[in-house]
Amino acid sequence: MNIREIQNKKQYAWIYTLVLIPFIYFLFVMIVPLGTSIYYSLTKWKGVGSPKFIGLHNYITLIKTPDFWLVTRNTLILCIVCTIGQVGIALLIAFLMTFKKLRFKTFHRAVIFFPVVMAAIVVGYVWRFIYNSNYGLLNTFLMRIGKADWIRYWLDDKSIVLGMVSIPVIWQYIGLYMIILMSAISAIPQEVFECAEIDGCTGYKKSIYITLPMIWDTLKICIILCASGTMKIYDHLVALTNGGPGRATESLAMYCYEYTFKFGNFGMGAAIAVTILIFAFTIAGIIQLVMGGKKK
Amino acid sequence: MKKKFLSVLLSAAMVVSLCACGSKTTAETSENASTEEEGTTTSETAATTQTASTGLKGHFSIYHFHEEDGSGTSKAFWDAAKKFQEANPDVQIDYIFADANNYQEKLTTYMAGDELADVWLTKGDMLPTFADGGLIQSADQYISKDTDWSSQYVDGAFTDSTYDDKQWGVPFQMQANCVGVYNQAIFEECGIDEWPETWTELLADCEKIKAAGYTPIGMGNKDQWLAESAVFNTYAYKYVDQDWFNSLANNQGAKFTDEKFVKALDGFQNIAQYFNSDMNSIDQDEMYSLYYNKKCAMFFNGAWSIGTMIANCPEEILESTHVGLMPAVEGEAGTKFDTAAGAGWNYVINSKLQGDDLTACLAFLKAVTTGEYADDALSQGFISAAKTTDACDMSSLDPLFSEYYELAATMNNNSIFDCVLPAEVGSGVLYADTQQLISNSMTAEEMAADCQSAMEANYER
Repeated sequence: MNIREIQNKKQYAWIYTLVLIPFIYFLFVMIVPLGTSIYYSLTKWKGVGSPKFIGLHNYITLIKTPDFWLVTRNTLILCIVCTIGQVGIALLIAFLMTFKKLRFKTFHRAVIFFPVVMAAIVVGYVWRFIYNSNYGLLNTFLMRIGKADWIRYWLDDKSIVLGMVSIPVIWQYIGLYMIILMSAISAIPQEVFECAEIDGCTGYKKSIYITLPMIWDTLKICIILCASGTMKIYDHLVALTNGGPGRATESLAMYCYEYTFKFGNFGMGAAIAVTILIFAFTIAGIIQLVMGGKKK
Repeated sequence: MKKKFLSVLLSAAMVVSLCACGSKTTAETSENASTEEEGTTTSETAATTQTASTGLKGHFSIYHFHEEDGSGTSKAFWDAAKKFQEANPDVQIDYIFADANNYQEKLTTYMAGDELADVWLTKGDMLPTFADGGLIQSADQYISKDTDWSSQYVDGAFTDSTYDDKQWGVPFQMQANCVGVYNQAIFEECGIDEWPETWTELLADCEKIKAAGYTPIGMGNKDQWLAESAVFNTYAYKYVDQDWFNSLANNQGAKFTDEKFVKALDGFQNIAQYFNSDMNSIDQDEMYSLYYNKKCAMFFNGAWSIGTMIANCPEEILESTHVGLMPAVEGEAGTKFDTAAGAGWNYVINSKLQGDDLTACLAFLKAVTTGEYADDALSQGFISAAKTTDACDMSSLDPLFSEYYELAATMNNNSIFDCVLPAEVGSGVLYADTQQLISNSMTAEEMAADCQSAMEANYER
């Protein structure tokens, strides 16, 4: 039944009833928990008895806690690095895939997409073995090629550890954004490319001046998805470093989990969760603002 | 028509799925209600003097982390539990298991959802929350009435379950959180005749071992608890004592920034130079691997590692494996006998549990913490919180465990920091900062100030 077929009130009622069911589902799965999270963030609650309303006290405590700013910094750095790494590399590969001379495209696509279907915790443990200082693949490789002086304790060195944990995250999700961007590229009418080629626009110029503007909206969505997804980063970090050394690789999601389930401080945990939401919305807004007018 | 039928089918499926989500809650609520109703009809008298074959009946649930195919206290628990159930077929027990690594998190979730079991295991740091919230009933009111039960526990067994002058929990183990495990063959190879008695000797030995190409002390602190809870905690007791800790925990004057505690942090940072360099990225099991592969000469860890060594260590290494107490620091008040040790976890009883169910539960707790359980635990390489019976065959103990058993008898047990302090401090700041301390990214003074700041925030709450 499409909209032109609606002829009477009975049909309208039927359609609204159908829409209402997923709406109620969404309301109770998304909106109500969000509302209760905001409420709990304004309370002092250890999981026992009734929550005690304390206004913005949890948020004030958070702002005054240096560890909160440390984990916020970690999360934002990871967010920027992973977004540039994942979407940037995915875009390059998607461009490469448009080149006619490239062989075995299906094979490349399958191999690059493969890590996406792996569980994040598995990826974390796999890379932990790669980074292991005694029997890890990386240090063994460096030893074999005679670069023993490059060997580092990859997950123990505070100065490099944040970069090291971002590599598996980037590696895992390149394939996802590559597929999204490739599908956007494939939706561009072939005539546009043909016209461009007639006008002498070939190679990288075609990618920059034709393909990129045509997939701009999809690219924006990829960046928003990637940035807001990285704001919730948890599994990889738990498997790789458990947030250490100290809190050098701890993310806001881990900090939230720690307060909620390890310390049983549900009020503070909810405040951190709401903060993550605010950060994610802000980042999405900034991306929208920066990239929004470009299409015109 | 087909489309209409499909849409009806899909919406029906969605409605059913929504209803299914809600029905579980309803069922659980009614179950809780029925438990409460049952509770009002029977006496609270602790019929704990009943033996395990006197026709007990009742139904209760227990949330625990004892693996059914595990070793140590887990095996002893299941042996005792199965015997109890055979003798009491009318007692129905629902076992709710969670892996030890995720146990605490799930417990917090159950607590918040008001879905706690009738009996569960908890550490001392959660007692105030449970007790003040009226979620548990004190165990001593029942244990003290049964002299046969109360007389079976060793001294200090209830220290970790005492809050507000009441003993809330039932202990099942007494173990040292720190014991030195070393490879005698590597020691001899490096010209070391015996386990060091003093800290200076330990440092000198570490130098010799390092010069011989071995890692002197293995450390697997990825999960953050090992360095603090299983090593530093005992090292701190070479500088501070139980009174200092009690004062700190109860806001009676002692501070993390006190000179002696800062000195302890400083000394611990110094010994970290002898740990393996990847100390913060490998976990406990990987640390054991270093030891099994003769890459490290010794490690410090809780007494649970003795059972692991006996079960998993290659025979050649196990033969030359011995245990020792953490050496004393010259010039400081603490002795080598001062060790962080205790019951740690205790069974607590839900305040809603009453009547026959409570009676059955108490009999069960007695069976899985005392009597034959104590003998069985010992034979598994674990010291229980209860005294062993006369029937216990000490000659059958593994030689390594016998060594530890003798050492344990000499230990001066002190509180385990993370079992007593609020979780934000004990398993939060202390864990994270110790990791930074041993990797030299934080000074002793900075860590002391950070811990004190977290402690003061908790006093205010």
